[in-house]
Amino acid sequence: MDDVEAYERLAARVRAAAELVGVRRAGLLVDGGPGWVGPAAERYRASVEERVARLAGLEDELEWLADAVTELAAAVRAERLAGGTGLGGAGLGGAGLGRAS
Amino acid sequence: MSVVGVRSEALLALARRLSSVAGELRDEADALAAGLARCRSPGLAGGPALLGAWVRVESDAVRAVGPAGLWGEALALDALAVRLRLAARAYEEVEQWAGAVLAAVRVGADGLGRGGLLTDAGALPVVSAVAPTWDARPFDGPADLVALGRGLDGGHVRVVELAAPDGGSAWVVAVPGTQEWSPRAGPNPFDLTSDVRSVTGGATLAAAGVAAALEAAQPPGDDGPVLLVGHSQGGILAAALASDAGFRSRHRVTHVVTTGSPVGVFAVPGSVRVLSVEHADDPVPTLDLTPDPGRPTWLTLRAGEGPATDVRRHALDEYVRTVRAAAGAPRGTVPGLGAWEVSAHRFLHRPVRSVTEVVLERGWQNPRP
Repeated sequence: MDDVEAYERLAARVRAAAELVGVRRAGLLVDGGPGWVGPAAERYRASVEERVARLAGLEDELEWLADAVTELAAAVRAERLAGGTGLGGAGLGGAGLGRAS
Repeated sequence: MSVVGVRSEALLALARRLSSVAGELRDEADALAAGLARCRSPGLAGGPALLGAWVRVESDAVRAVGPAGLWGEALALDALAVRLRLAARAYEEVEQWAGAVLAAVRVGADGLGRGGLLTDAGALPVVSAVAPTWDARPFDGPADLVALGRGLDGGHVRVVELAAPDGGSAWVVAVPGTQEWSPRAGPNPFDLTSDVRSVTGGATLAAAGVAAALEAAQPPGDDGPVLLVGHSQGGILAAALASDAGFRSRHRVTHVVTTGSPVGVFAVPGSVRVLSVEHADDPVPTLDLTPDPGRPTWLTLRAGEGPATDVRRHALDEYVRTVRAAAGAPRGTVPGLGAWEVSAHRFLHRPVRSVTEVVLERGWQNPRP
């Protein structure tokens, strides 16, 4: 497997992980222990809300990562086609792979 | 005790689902880590921009997999699942304790029964038709259904036949609350004996009499939906009848409305929509030591605050007022009530066809000891 293919597979894997996190996050929202009331239930639901918020953040991170890996794969492929000039920057100028976190 | 048993089981099922999600997140983390391991750095030959991009992707991927990412979230969900399992175990202990207490009450009642107290063994329900005392009018909401229980003193049971939307009939049966507090069973079966025997799982003459009252009004073969409504002991008897498979085989019970009744102990099937109204400061609904089950077709409305110590809040009129206020609140203010009313459309705003009222008495074939 060459590097570009490895990057593309990684990108697909990351995207699938983002989708799974999204689906499970939605499931947590609706699966709150129907009819369970009282302080323990309220604490549990507050914890679930916190987890749901964190999973939403993780889903965003994974989607961004999938885009970044896809872009890296395209840049490496372009670099190869350009004959490996070593000048760098092929396809990376616009989107930029760095981000504030 | 099967109803409360469901509750700890529900929490355990939820815990299992959380653990399953945690396992999926861990699997994804493993797969991502393996995919990342198969990727090689483009190295300096690709230029500094590509190398820098790779370094950032690699570090972000490691973060997404590790404690701040998938693995961390999996661990947090596992921790939540552990909390749920602990809660379920605590509930299970409470359920067992409540079951033991009710069993002890039943044993005690059996002992008193041998002395002639809290027993109606050997008695037969005697049902006598009387002139209806209710001013017939359509039920405009659940408060009107609850108010149907007014004026049932003296062992009266009221059965209202409504014109259902499909052309058939729908039936509302109003069951009275406790009217006699002597531990010795007398002619009026809506008494302490029926209270104790119902809550501890025994068959009662009062429930049999309510069934007989409905059978006196409903023609044989009529399959119209039946709504049972009761306050206090009336709610207990309504829930007991709705959980009786034999009664349901003869009558299509679709709805139960109770106010101020300890009914969590009854295994009312999910096919019956229950509306159970409790005042938080009314001690009576807690007498079965069993919280109402959580399920989509069982709506418990708890109104008010404070410890359950004010018996004045147990009065039927207090409950009529509470239900009227809840039903009159802006839509959505009382979650679930609007949906319940929609489900009860065969009983609400429908013309009254007939009203049957009976007096129910305990009758003994032989003189009592």
